[in-house]
Amino acid sequence: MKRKLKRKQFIGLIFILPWLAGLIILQLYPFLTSFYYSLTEYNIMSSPAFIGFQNYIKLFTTDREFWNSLKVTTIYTIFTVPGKLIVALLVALVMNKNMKGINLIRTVYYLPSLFGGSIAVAILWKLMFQDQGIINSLLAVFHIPPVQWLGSTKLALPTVILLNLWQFGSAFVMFLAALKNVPMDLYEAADIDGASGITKFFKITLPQISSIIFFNVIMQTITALQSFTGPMIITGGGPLKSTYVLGLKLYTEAFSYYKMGYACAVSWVIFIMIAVITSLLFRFSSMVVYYEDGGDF
Amino acid sequence: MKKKQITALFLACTMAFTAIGCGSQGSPDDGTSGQTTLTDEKKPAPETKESAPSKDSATATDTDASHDPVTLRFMWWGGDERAEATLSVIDEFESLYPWITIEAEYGSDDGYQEKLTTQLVSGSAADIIQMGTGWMPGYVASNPDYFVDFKEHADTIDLSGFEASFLENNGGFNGHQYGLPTGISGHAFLYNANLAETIGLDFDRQYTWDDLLAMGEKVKAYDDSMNLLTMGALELNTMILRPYLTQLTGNKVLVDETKTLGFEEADLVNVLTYIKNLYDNGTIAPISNVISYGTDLITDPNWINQKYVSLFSYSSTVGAAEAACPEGTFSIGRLPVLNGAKNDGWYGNCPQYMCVYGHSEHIEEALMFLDYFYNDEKAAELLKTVRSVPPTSTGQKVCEELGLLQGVAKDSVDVLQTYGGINDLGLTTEEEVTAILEDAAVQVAYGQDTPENIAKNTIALLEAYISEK
Amino acid sequence: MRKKYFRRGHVSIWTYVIVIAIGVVMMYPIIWMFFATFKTNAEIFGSVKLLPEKFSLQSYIDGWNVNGRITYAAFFANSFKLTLITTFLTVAACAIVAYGFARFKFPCKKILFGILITTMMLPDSILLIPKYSLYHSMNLLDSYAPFYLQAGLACYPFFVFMLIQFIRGLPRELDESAYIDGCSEIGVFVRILAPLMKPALFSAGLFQFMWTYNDYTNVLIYVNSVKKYTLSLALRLSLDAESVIQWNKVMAMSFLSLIPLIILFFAAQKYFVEGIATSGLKG
Repeated sequence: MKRKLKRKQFIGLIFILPWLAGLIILQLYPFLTSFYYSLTEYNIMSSPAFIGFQNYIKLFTTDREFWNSLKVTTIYTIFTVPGKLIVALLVALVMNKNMKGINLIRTVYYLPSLFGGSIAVAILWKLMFQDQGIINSLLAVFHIPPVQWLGSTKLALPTVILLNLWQFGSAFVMFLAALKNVPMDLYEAADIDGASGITKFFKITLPQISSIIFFNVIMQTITALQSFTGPMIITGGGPLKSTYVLGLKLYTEAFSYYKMGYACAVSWVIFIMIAVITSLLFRFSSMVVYYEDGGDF
Repeated sequence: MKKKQITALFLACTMAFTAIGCGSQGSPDDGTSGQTTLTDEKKPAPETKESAPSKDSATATDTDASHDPVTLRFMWWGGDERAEATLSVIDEFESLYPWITIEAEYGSDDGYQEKLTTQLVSGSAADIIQMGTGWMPGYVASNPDYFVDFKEHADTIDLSGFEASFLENNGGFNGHQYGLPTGISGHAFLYNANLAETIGLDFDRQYTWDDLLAMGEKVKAYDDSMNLLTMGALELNTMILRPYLTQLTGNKVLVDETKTLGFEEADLVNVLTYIKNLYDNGTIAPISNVISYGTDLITDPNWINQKYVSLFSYSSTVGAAEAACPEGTFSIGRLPVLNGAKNDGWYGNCPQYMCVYGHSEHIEEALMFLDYFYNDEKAAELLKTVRSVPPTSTGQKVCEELGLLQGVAKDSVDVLQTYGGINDLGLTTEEEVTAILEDAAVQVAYGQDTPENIAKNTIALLEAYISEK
Repeated sequence: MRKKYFRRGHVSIWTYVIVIAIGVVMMYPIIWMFFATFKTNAEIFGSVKLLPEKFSLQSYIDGWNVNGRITYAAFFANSFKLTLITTFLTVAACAIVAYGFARFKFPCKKILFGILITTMMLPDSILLIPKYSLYHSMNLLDSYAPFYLQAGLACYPFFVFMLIQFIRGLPRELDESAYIDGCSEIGVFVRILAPLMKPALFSAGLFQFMWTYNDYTNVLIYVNSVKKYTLSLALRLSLDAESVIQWNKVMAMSFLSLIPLIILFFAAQKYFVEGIATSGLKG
């Protein structure tokens, strides 16, 4: 019996073989070289010259842009991650109900996420948020003076965050799938005990979907800290760098200024931020996340 | 055992799918031969259109015997019209030289530079490349082997159709001709002629920067909801900051030869204060209304609805700006020059270059194509002005005959010919310097700080940049 | 039982009103885009009005025929080919890998799982050039092979991690009883877990379909030939600052390209919202 169990466990290694091969063939080399490049003076088109930690030193001491980008990225992450998850969970809870035409309604709520990849999206945002745009026209009905959503250095970042929240689709779908997996009998037992809706939500729903909440928290955090396409499309990082997230700085350094070594240093700073936050989240998760497999991983 | 077999089978399936994926790729380049050398009689005769058919038949007969097939890749960006015209030229060329196939790789300008950089670094760029003028100094400085020096191939490609000094200023780098200009273009001032007449503005005489301020005031007096100009970050830098500074000092903003700043702090303060005045009196539309349009100023409803009288643009884009506002009638004005300017500050250049990849396996054929592209009358007829006013005598002659040389693009080139400013392509136009200068102008526009402080910061950033070079 | 289920699902009229009101806001962009396909450039950019001045299908006809050489039929076909194969490979490979991680205790598992998560942490844009060089050296450029290779080798830690989380949500007792019934490891996966993972597999498939379908940067970098362009590249073909862009054409094709995604979501959702509770296995 024991021998059988042991053999069984090794089979797991065979199952992960495709990934392992992919890791070694496709991922490891770019990953490791990027760290080496971060220690070099490396213009994309010439060969890298080793300079130790100078890129990092420059980043933290003389590059004023970096601190601004760090601040912008932090604010962006702090607001988008919980914001998106709360919106997604709320919508998923409502959409989990048995309503007439629910399929159509779910599709409608997912539309923004589909539309987000379209080239029309940048144009539409400008039409909506410009001076005489749709939003300001609506505000005028209530006698609210026009707001400079994208043109003001104070409001551009909140606007970018708001537009990001709007695309809650992927988290929403995962919550929906997770909610459907919560065993009905748990609710029925709670009903017999006379538990209120709120009690059921906190005692049954949340623990039952906690593994997916955890997954979404991790993924959204990683995405938010790396993100750059949103700000790039909507504001280009402006006005006056007020939406210049780290991901955008990294992209600009690499592809506009050709400073690959420096860009690699920026990306490794992002990497370390993510690594620290993720490992904290994993540690924290062992206390609050409930797995059907009994935490046996 | 059975378990193991099933496992193996399952994994094999996964791998097989992967393998199918790997195998389905087509071979990108069929041409296995090296360079095909051409004898003189097979060289195209660009002067005479009539000789083309005879060439065609002549080459068609001996194709298989004397030439291995060659496939060239040609990469460019641009809209539908440019794609259509360029594809026609390729067809025409292929029918003249049936053993040469040209794979067209065209798309939008979105991501073009990133793709090109990636390809150059990895050694897989197309044989013929359309190139942004701003990227070229960076590429050439990093690796001069990236591109073929056209001067070394004067027997294959005829450069006599270009005006010599124009050619040298556009695509010439330290005596090497790495790029060929695709057209004549440059800074342009486009104004709404009806509005200008109603308000009483004259842009056809030479005016100064201060005149611009005064005219801005006039526009405000006429209708407070209107502005004389709309400008984004790009325009503030390339159409005010740089030319104004050059007119003040006679130098480029950054002098490539000495790697120093071409101006004093007081000069920069002077320019930035001028920009501040433009915003203070409403000559330029408030930056916060305009900034989100980025480089697409012409999609601003205020431009479409004739709330702005004019804009600074380029010869290659004035046509699009005119078309964006269908109800307006537009003309090209002169460009502002300082009283007692040390240099005109304005100059004609080109919208992009054509380059031949230095590591191409078929340099000879790529050059033959460009020779046809630039010097053949049929090619010129097909290409029209899709890359601005043609730079070669053949192109200009053909377009003139076809009546294509008219309209705002052509007018703007004519205006530019009257200025002889110094071409500041180089350090001054590097992306990082551009970002620093744009930031300075935008900070002034937002009133973030005084022109004095912004000038100090900007100089510090520029000096730090130069010290890295 | 049934009655209780419906009681939980009961919604008030006010919920409907709110859900539909917000739904209209959600739909606005698509509706706007649809009407924009009939507008002139000046109407699109110069006015906030939703309805166009006149309706005509010309923009769809003109947009479909890109130039004399290629039409959108080719781009749709390319997109479907790339997307379907990539999605299938991704889901199959990632599910197997996730099963390996979630259910077995092999040596170095914790470290390997750590590496799996770690590979998501470095921003993609920095890896673009080294990855491109790699595929160049493998002679896989100007084809969809880089996509298939990455998918078949489960190089999407996002999906592996996501499926691990779902598998861990399924009780181990299910596996144990299947082993007792004589199932093999792969049998447990295929017969017991995969059917229960259907919601997760379908969501993973949906995401991968959508992301590959909309992917611009990677397709742009890896594919050169116009005849191999996917929709996301084709839609940007006419975008250029130096030419007069006919936006109604661009909008028309963008709108058409969205339709498959909408249909897919609508049709596939019955699979990812069909949970264990209704299939009765866990009750």
